[in-house]
Amino acid sequence: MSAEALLDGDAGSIAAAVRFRSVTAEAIAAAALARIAARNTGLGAFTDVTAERALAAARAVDAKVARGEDPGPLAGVPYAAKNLFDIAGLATRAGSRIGRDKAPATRDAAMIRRLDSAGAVLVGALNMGEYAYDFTGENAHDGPSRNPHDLGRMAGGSSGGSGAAVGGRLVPLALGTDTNGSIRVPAAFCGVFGLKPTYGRLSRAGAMLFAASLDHVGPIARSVRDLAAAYDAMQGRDEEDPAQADVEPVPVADRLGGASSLRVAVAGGHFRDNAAPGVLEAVDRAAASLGASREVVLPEAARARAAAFVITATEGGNLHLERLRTRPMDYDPATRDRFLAGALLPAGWYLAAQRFRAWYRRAVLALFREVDVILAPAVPLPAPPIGTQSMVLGGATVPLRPNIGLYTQPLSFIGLPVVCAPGGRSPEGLPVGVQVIAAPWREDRALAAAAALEAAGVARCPGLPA
Amino acid sequence: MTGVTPKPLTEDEAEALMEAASRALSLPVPEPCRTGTIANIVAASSAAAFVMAFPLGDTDEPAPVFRA
Repeated sequence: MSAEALLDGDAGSIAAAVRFRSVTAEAIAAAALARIAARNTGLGAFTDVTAERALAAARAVDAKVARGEDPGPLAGVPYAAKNLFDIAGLATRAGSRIGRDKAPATRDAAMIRRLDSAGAVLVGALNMGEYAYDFTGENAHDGPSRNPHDLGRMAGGSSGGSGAAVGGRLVPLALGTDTNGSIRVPAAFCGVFGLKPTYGRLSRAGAMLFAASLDHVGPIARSVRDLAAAYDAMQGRDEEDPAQADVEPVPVADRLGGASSLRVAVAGGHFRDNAAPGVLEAVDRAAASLGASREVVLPEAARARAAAFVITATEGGNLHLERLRTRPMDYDPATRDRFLAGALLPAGWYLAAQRFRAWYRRAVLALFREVDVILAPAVPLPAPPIGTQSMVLGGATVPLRPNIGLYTQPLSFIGLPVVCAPGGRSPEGLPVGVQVIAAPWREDRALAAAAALEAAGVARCPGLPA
Repeated sequence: MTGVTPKPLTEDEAEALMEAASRALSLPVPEPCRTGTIANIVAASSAAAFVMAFPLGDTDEPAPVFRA
């Protein structure tokens, strides 16, 4: 198979072809770079392309193969990282104008170092909503990330470039971050798979934070086995992330079977309300395929969302305090006033939200005594047209931006691992996503259930328009 | 428990909070940002009021460094 054809497949196929010398990593990297050059203007996915680095890394992989050494599980797989991850030699812009004035990073972020060690080849940095305070993928400085299924629509955010690059077949693998849904929303809008691991599982060292007690990193890919391979490569203790938990790595790539023994439920209540046509149907197809036997209600999910809103605003505003003092007008207008407001909120609001968070965690974890996996919609609607400001929710017109996270926020709020799987199309032909949720530290269960959906043809990346 | 919980702020109340906190934090709010900042404080106050209407006990500790 040619390098060009391999780029339309998944990372696993590329790694196997490189390992067995069907193709060189250099040819794959060159094909990916050519594809980015040809298609990125339309997609707005990449903000930086690291061509020299990519070709050098690919040649190093090929040299390993030639010497008979193990080139790694992601040998020659081209990937890219949301531009809040440090990349040596580039200013870490984090979607901002201010960030590009910083000195270039002197070292790669921890997750980039890990993926590189597994043989993956970094080809560039990806567009994102400014400082990750975003669900749309729009950006006043770099332009919007565009949805590969309809370039007039949002890619979702804040990891919009990650969704667009993987969905648009520029790369098979990308790194994103998720504070309230920023991996899962673009995965759902762009029709690809995303993994938000348990809070504290993967190191965030070298990634610009947004709301520290909610920030996660994770992969976006076009197959479950690619999510698993990237996740395995990124696991492991890193003393440089103070929020990382002291847990042993649990490799999952070889444990994607076994979903038949899982007790699967559908999330009711909050997660069955306010969905656009096609959204719940995707959940129900997944539930039928996995033999879901019951519905469970996450108690106080709407209040959890409200608490996540308060914590996000407060932590985000505080993180940006000095920049807000000195360069407020250099912020994207879509984030500036929210950061300013967040910086000014009373401590009593924040602490009440953090106390409620502990209560909610206990209440939700109790559900996992009865079930292993819970299914829920990822987004309340398919990708809206770029520039859309409002949506209808429960019969009322509400602002679009905060409400895209209706179904994602109550889950990341307590750090649950979630796979977002592409679950079909809406009546207008756009991708919709399904969240596959597990108890903390049970990424293996969420991935196994997603793999079963993929094997059954229920979860798969929809084809792109001709 | 008094049963008293905060109510969402009005725009005037949010503006007063903005002015006071702005001074307390030495964070000036530029004129073009005032309306948007006030609107976002109102939105946050609504979320906070919803959260604070939930009865918590003395043993419900905050989770500032959250462990899943």
